[in-house]
Amino acid sequence: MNQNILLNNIILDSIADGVFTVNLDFRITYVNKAAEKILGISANEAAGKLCYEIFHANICEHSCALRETMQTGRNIINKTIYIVTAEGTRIPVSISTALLQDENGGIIGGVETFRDISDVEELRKTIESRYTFEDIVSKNNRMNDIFAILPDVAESDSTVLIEGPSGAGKELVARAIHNLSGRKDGKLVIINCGALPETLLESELFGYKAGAFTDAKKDKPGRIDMAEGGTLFLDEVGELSPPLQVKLLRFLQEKTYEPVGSVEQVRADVRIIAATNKNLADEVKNGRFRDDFYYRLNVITITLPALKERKEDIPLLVKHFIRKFNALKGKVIEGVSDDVLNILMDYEYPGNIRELANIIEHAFILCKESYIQRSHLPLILSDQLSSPAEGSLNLESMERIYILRALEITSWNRTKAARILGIDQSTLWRKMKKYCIVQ
Amino acid sequence: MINNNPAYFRYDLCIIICMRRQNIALPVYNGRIAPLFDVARCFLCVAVEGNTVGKPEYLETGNLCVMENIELLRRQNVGVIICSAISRVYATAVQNAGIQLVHGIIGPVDEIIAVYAKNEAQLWEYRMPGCCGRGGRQGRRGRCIKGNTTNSE
Repeated sequence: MNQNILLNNIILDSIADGVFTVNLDFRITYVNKAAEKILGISANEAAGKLCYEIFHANICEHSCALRETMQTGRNIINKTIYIVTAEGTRIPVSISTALLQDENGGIIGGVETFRDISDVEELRKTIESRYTFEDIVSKNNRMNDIFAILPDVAESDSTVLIEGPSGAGKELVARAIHNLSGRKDGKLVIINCGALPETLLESELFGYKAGAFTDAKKDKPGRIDMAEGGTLFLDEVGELSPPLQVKLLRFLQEKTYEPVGSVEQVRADVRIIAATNKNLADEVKNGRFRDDFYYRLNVITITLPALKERKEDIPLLVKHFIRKFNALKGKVIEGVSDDVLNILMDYEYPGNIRELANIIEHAFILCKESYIQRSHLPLILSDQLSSPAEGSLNLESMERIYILRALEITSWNRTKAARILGIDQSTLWRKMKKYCIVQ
Repeated sequence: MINNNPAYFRYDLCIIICMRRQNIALPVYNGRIAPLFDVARCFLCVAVEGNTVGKPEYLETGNLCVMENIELLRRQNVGVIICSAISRVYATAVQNAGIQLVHGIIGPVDEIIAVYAKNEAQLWEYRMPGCCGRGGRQGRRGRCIKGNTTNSE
């Protein structure tokens, strides 16, 4: 008999799914090795505890799966829930439950198996882009202040202006606001105001009527129309031309617009979230941005700090991206070496979080070991570290050097260069113009 | 007579701090701390002044979301929340609401309140398995009680 129990335990300890058993009082009688690992506990400290005091799941209190199985005799298979560890990390898990019976068929308890499905959830979120503010990784005080107001901001339905440098996560915040708001069942439509010429942008935003211009054979709905009942995210709103600012101002004021080539007013129920990497107040002062439009946009302003101002988040973000790329690329990289973490902590990140993500993605391609090493980092990072003389240059000169290097590395392929720099192609194009960089 | 000795004033201040009235709230399930703060719907609120524990009152929050629960507790002048597991983002929200958080605690609520009133440091006897890791390190948000797990059941 004891030999059988020992054998069963060896078998249960060899599987990757977490398993625990409870008696009729819901007290833990067994926990396997995988469960110890997933829950971050030892079998000794779990023994005799109530199951909901070691397995802190969102269903324990109101719809316990084990209780249901023990009351109805019905097994539950692959139910997706989440548990929260002692550190406050949410882990999505898939659970199954079954009865434990003695040789006479009498019920002696229940068994629950659970599988960590963080990788699957990560993939799902990446595919569906259904991020919530719980997906924004930070322990920085300024970011925490933003987390605190985000649910209220989302609920308010007011226009939101998100300020922050390129790659700081403006789109993620916009998605979180949309997904937290009452409009979450509507679409989030994104348009980059800096990526399109003025005339094209106007027809993209407002749509056009057949015959409005050559080749306009039939009506085409604009992004505002597509976002009906949802949210329109105007990225790089600081790049909008003054005439378009006037048209959007009218839309913000009256919730109506005229498609290109039409004389009829169309009403739309769309919330506007705008983002910019410029200081719009300065742009207004310098006469480059309309003050009335600015005040209409600036109902609620969220200012995201640059990554160099929240360096305490780098280890968390590195961990986050490693988990994400493990899921996306099917790898099992454990982390980064101490040496690499030091380099990453010292770096200034002109491309902010997007650049950090790109650095980790680059390292993932080269890394064939468990830990990312210095040699797996992009050249641009090593170059920056090995040329201290450039440290005396000002920020704009450094930016110019970075852009030139990225372009040289990629044989002037702007798409690849933008990816290395962690900025949008349109931002790269604008910066190339600004610094007069030509091939 | 006014005593100008600075040491006298510090001692006086200590007494005032120790005797300060504090409203605490605990998410409750079956007379014990609820398994997860994020989905708790019933809170036990009680005033603690020195070693004296006031009359406990239950606060049912129904279908309010967790952020609304936090706001409700703040409006009830709750100064301390003692709970079991809590998602990091809500731990931050609790602290942003100006409420002190003691998380990672399991066990019967009446015992925990009595221990808190008597000597908060002894709450480590009620810490949840896995709390503070094997080395007993500081929790990420709020205070996570350190020590060995010898939860009394």
